[in-house]
Amino acid sequence: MKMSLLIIGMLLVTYLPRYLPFRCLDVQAIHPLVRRFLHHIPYAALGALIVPDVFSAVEGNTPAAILGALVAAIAAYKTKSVVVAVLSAVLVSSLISLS
Amino acid sequence: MTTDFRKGFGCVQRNSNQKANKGSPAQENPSANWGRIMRALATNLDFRRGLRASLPICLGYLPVAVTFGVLARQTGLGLNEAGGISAFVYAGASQFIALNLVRLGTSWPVIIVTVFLVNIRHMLMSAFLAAHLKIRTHLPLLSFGVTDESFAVASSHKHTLTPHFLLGLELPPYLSWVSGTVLGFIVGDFLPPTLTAGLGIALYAMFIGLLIPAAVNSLPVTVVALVAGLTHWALTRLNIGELGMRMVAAMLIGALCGTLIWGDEKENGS
Repeated sequence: MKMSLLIIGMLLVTYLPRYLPFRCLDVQAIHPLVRRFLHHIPYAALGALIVPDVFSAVEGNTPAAILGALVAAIAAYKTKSVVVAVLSAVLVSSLISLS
Repeated sequence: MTTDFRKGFGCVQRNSNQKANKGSPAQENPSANWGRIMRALATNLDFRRGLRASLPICLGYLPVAVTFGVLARQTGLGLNEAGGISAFVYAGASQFIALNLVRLGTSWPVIIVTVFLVNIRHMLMSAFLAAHLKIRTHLPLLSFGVTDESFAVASSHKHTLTPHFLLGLELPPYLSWVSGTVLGFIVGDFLPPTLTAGLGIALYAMFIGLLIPAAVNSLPVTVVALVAGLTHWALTRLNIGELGMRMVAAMLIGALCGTLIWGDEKENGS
């Protein structure tokens, strides 16, 4: 029984921050400065999501992760395709960690 | 806007005159409605775009979800509890942290507050999406699926954000996450590590794949991402705060830099 209460509690504290901005944010009333700020959020998020967690992406094998990330970066630069970046990174990373 | 979910996704693309549909006998038949919705979704370009965009996320989620299932079982949870967490909380890092705290016997208020702090970064992400989503339907449903990964993809999306795209983007990863958890729970430790050896990099490769093309053309993007990344790294290195707060701080500082330095730059897109 206690676990289900815990799950409900976790559900609320996770879901409400995701939902409330959609309900409470008046799109028209956003100050231009806030709008500019929000514009940068995705790129800041991407940067913060990648570094430093990417170095621990492969269990106990940091070089595999770094090389995989490098391959992803090169693939992304060359092809501008996310799928190619992911597949090539997974391939290289697997090969390195299995060898 | 319509609050009837079943009608909403089937009808948004067609004419906005809902009253014309109300009297028809087909509305009384639930399976006809679902069929209509399925067909409407399948033919919707945005929904298909969302599905395609979600593939890297599904790929990246599977090994993590399986790991969570395995760990949940080891922590002594039941299948429905493990599945319940993945299905109702649906937030990767915080789920693992919660498991850890349960194992340590932490009191439930502390666990809930920790989960809250770890996940609060989603509020910033939702704020961004809320500002860019013009057709505001099915918000309760769509907001549930806001995660780091779906946000990364949605915010980089070239075309205007629509509910159909978001649904296509959020649904498969959710299914992948929940079924991965169940699979991991059931199969347990029988999975050889070699299978998941290289998959760990998948999500990061996706983030990189989204960031690089944008950064190449834009100095602000590069700087913002670098500042945020370095801040996060520094905070982690110095062990300041903890997971969720570090990400929030890094995001805020990075975005702040961008706002202060490039005050006059016109934002592009949408």
